[in-house]
Amino acid sequence: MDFFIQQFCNGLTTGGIYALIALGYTMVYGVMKLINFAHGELFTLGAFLGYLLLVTLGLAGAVGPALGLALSIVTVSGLVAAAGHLLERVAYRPLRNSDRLAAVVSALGASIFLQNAIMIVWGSQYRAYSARLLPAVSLDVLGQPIPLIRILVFAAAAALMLLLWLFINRTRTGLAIRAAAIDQGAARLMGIDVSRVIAVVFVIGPALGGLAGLMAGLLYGQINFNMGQLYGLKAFTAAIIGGIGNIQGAMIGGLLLGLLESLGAAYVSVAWKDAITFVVLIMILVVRPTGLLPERVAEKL
Amino acid sequence: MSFSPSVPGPPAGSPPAAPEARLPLPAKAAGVAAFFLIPVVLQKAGLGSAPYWLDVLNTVGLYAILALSLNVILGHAGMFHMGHAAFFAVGAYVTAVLNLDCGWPVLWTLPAAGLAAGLFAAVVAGPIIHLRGDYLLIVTIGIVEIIRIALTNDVFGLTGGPNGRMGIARPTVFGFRITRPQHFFYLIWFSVAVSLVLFRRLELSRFGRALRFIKEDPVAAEGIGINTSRHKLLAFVIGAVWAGFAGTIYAARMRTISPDSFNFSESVLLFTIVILGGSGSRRGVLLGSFLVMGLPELFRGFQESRLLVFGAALVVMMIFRPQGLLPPGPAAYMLPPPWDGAPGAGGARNGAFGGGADEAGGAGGPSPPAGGPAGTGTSGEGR
Amino acid sequence: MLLLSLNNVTKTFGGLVAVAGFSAGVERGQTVGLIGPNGAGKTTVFNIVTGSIKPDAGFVFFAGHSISSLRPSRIVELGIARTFQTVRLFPHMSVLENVLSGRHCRMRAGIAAAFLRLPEQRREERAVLSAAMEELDFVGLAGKWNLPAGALPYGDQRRLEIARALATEPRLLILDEPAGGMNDRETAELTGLVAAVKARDITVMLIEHDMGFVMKVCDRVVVMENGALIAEGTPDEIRLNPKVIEAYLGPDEEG
Repeated sequence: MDFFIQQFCNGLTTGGIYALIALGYTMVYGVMKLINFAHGELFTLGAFLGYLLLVTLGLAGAVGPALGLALSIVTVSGLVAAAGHLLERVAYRPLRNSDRLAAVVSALGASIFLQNAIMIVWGSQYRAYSARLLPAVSLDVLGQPIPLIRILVFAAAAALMLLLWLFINRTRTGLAIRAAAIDQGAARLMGIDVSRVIAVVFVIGPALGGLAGLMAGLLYGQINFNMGQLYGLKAFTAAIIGGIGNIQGAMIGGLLLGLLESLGAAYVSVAWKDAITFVVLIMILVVRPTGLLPERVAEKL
Repeated sequence: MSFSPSVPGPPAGSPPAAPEARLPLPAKAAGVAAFFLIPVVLQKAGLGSAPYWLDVLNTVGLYAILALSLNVILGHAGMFHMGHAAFFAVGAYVTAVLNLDCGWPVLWTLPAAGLAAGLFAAVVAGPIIHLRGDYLLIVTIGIVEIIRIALTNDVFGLTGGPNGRMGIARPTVFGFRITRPQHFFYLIWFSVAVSLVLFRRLELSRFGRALRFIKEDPVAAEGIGINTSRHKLLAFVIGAVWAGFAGTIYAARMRTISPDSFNFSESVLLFTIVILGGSGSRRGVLLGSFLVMGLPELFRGFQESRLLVFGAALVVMMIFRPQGLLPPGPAAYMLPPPWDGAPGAGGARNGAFGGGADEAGGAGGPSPPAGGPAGTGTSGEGR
Repeated sequence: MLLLSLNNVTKTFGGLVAVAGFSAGVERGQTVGLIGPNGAGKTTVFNIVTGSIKPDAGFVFFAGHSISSLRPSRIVELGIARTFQTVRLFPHMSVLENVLSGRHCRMRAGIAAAFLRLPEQRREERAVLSAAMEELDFVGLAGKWNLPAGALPYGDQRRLEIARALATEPRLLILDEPAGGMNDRETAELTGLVAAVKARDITVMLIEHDMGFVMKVCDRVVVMENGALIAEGTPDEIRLNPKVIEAYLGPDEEG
């Protein structure tokens, strides 16, 4: 039982990260019906920018861990959001009136470009996030010691998801996004500036993805230029599980996938852990592509 | 913005593709002969780096075979397939196992490698064939990853784990052992030539046409009597079988194979070759192979940023020339009598579409110039 | 002898009943018109017959086979060919190749024959070109065989679609609004074309809103409203049928 609690908490934390990345996929897909293949690379970018700030520039050492972390969060989300915006302008906007598949290939090309750009700048070796950033204490959860970092990451992910939920459901821009996701043409006729909606989605999604990268770096201590590929595929699976285009679905899907992976690795096999995710992905797409959540929910954003 | 559902092609409203310039047969034959003399020439020239350049050409050739096989799936049938490295891997590993564990001579494993890859494709592609473009893409990526993980985990105890299998024998042809780059040159490029001929025949056949119809409009194709699911599955299987053959040659050439040779990046390279070169066009794919695998060798500094450039190239291509560098031209048909009097039917190059045919239509073509009963049938399309 | 019969066919989309217990039959050699106000369910019926949609209930029989669960390409093989309401050609391919697509289901050469370039494969290819040109000649497009299909004027595209459908050697040809968007001259030509198709002993079933065309071309007319059959008979009978008049013009307020 102790072991189970440990793995469960691990799963929640990893799941939180998957959820944040999945949200980026799902928001873009909802509005543009396009899978943003380069999203995983934005996640990686966030991790490396965090590395740049916290390790290379020693931000935490300079202004103290709390402030350093806060500054990193703001900077990373801002920079990755800018990168996302740039990505949309360069690789997707010119193809808005083209075949969907041309956009898919362009997304793929952008993804390859970004991944290799990161590799060229930072090299292909693993980089370590120094452990001194946070005190290595553990808190007691249901009788089990859980490292502080895991709790913080999960809390941060949950907070971000709540913020996003509020934004989507309680603000006018959120409403515009939901409308555009249901029917772009109708939304435009209602006076919604769809270009602006797309721009917003390409800022929020990447920002969340970048933050997820920062969190992953802090959590696992190691980052690598191609981590976005695996994380991206898994997060995409999570988005599919929840019904692509469905924000609540992405959140739930992410957490579910994290739990599935954690418990699967613990109780079934570690070596095949990643394969589990892919098998799940394929099975869902083949059997129930609208996702595990009820179809009605899977329709809207 | 929602995207229109068709495949990448020239922008709507652009003038129809110009008919391809087709070299006369003697020039082509001379070119081919010259190409096959390269190893001899290099040896006579005493160039120290000759083995290196032959090796480069061998890599180009091997990737050309792989890309031609992917072309059937991606270029002709229009299915977005990023998992081709998986079929390649199956072929290579089957060869390794049969050679190392069962003592089969390497070239004898060719049919088994192809068969295994084909069966694997039949099993795997069946459930996913109906998926829409971008979803199919994701799923095929997942398949490649699953295969790589399985290989790394030494599934069935045959794949040797992360280090793979080593010590695969050299191929022998009638007792002659193929060991050096110049030998492999002939083996590989002969295979390329055979592949080119066979795939051209496929293009000009009922099956090849069906794939093009499916790519252009799958609903209309189904509605006119083409069983789209079966054809798509067959396209996958054919592409896989060929990739399996390529796997055998690769295993024999490298003598060591490991899961890392068959990862996502390999699929990306192949995908790029087909899309950049011109999907659906053998010429385009050949050009793509030279560009993607050969060009970086000319610019050594370029090596590391190779994928970077290709990623950017894909984006740029889709914006400015989505059909690729050398897209296939429209198919040209020679009309049988009594229709050979129709405008453009017999030889003059007229009409918006580059009327009738040229001479016999290249390698394997049967006949004298158009007009007589013997000179009929479908002739060249985009090579 | 009924070539095609629909028995109690029902199809619902979400909450909307598109076709409700529809039963009708088409005899060999006839030309049957399916008419009704917009939204009556006519194209849905066609889609069910050609296999693009599966009915929720009921059966469709064609030449002795039950076809409601078959895929569209199989139904074409059995002998039903269709044209679409909005033309669905292969625009980037030539006129000839479009017709060749229709010959696909009547050809036999497989992949092995293609790779080996067997004599029968080559013969078949030549024969197929002839057959395709004949169909093009039949609809009057032989001269344009090598043009890209997308470049043809609209009327020619419709004729090409018919040629393509005829290339499948159908026993039943289904035309969905063949006269849509045509002027008087083109409609007159189309009337001639349908008569020529009939002369080839092909049964024809069509949806049309142009009443003049329907009256001239059809032997029998079936009328639908709100997914159900409301009348059937000869064109003259239908023209005077009060239920039909009411369906198109609304109820007679004085009646």
